[in-house]
Amino acid sequence: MSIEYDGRTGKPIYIDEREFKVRYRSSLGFLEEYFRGLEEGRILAVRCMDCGARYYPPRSFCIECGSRNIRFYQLSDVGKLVTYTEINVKPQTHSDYTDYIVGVVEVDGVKLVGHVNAKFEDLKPDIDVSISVDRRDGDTYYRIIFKPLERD
Amino acid sequence: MRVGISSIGISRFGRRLDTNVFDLAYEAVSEVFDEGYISPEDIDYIVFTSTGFTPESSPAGIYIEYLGLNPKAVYRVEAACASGSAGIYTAYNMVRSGYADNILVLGLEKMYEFDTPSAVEYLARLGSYFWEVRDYGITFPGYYATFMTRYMYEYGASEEDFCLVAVKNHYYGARNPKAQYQREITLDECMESRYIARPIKLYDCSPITDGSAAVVVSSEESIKDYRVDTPIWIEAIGSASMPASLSNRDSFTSISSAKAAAEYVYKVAGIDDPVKEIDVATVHDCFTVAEILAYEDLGFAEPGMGVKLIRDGETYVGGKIPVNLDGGLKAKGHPVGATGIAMYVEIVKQLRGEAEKGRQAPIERGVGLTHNVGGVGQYAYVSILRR
Repeated sequence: MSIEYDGRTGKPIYIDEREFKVRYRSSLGFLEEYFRGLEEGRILAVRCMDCGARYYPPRSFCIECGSRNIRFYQLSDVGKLVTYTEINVKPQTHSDYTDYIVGVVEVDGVKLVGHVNAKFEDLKPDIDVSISVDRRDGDTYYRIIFKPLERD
Repeated sequence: MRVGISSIGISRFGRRLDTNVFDLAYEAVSEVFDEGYISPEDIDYIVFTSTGFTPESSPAGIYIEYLGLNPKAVYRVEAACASGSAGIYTAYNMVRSGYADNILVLGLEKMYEFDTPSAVEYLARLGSYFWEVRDYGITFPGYYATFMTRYMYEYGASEEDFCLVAVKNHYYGARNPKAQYQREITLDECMESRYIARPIKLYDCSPITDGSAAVVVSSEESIKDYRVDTPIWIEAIGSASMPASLSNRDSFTSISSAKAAAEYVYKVAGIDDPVKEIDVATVHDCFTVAEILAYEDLGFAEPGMGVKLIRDGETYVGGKIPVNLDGGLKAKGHPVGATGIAMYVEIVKQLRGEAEKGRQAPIERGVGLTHNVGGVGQYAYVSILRR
């Protein structure tokens, strides 16, 4: 029976639970080098060879001067935490993970987005963090990881 | 030539399991025609706004068919949570250019047709899917939480400050018969609610909502012909964009697109001191932090002083600048694609003096403002309406 009655209001609802699965196949083009780098544990941003502007996420042309003379460069492994949030109510595609922290980190003139490995209570904006790449257990996806630096 | 709003309509907002999506659209449209000015045959064009919480990939035609509005031409406008304002903007420009006299703008979203994890996923994808949502699972509350974290750090604000916005908006929701939550809340209730995207709590969030709203954007000539009792004129609409992605954002304490849109409309409308010259405003409080940012981006308060405005109660009726007297997105509800239109409906009601007892602002200058942000600022619309 596809008609159900809502538990709270008793109103009739037609349940439509057909599976509509999407398998996105995103062409990488210019971004191949970035994702290759990630697989090798390197995080790449780009620099305009004409005016020096830096970009992350990488882009194939400069929006400051219009140049297409763009090169990848590797970012340092220490940056500054700008802001963060702990995701408690997760989107469907991330619902199997325990609560995770998404952070924004400033490094070498660009800002990265990644996961912060720390307790929420131990974080504060403007602290220094290490930057690395890993995969979560059972995942095929690479991700950027930040960890608060130990203080002496 | 002036362009105005001749008719308005809005459904009851909420978890509307009592009605199907087609009749939900009819609730707003029937109110528009019941105003007695415009009939379906007077409509030149229809602009439909939704972000797509419908199983149809192209809903506009399907709903217009049910409403009996064929063969009027229709298309859909989408700008995330600012879709409604974007729709009004295209209608305004069509009328202003002399192409049409009466355009029906209809916004609709029935978000409860999605289960919660699917709705959270769909809303998250209003952000930067490729770089941020796909691999990092940031959600829509998460995007706004990055502002709240930084704002608290830079200005020394507390979670209580943001809950004060929820308390105010529920106070007015309790006085709005169309609101999703017609119930007042206490500061403690808000503070004790669970985290959704820490530091954002459940009571900092606007809800998932079913609802529809509609306005007719009309030419001055048409408004005179139909003898509209209290015409409300669109004095200016400003819009701007900014990066959706966290990486490309300059500031985590301001939405620069909303600020630019406000500066534009103040210039066009000749407003020097918005707090003194605007009687009532609706702002985009999808999360309580968004209302605080709006105070500052709209020039109601200096940067960092938005929290003081709510602490001092200045955005209640009787304060310096009453804001969201319909309950806001927080308590009235936020059917995303209909929200910008619902804001217009509210300001038209306020300027006509038709808001319910206990939530009508004193109208002295006859000027109202709507502030509608789509995504996390990649779309922003600010409008000035005048009686």
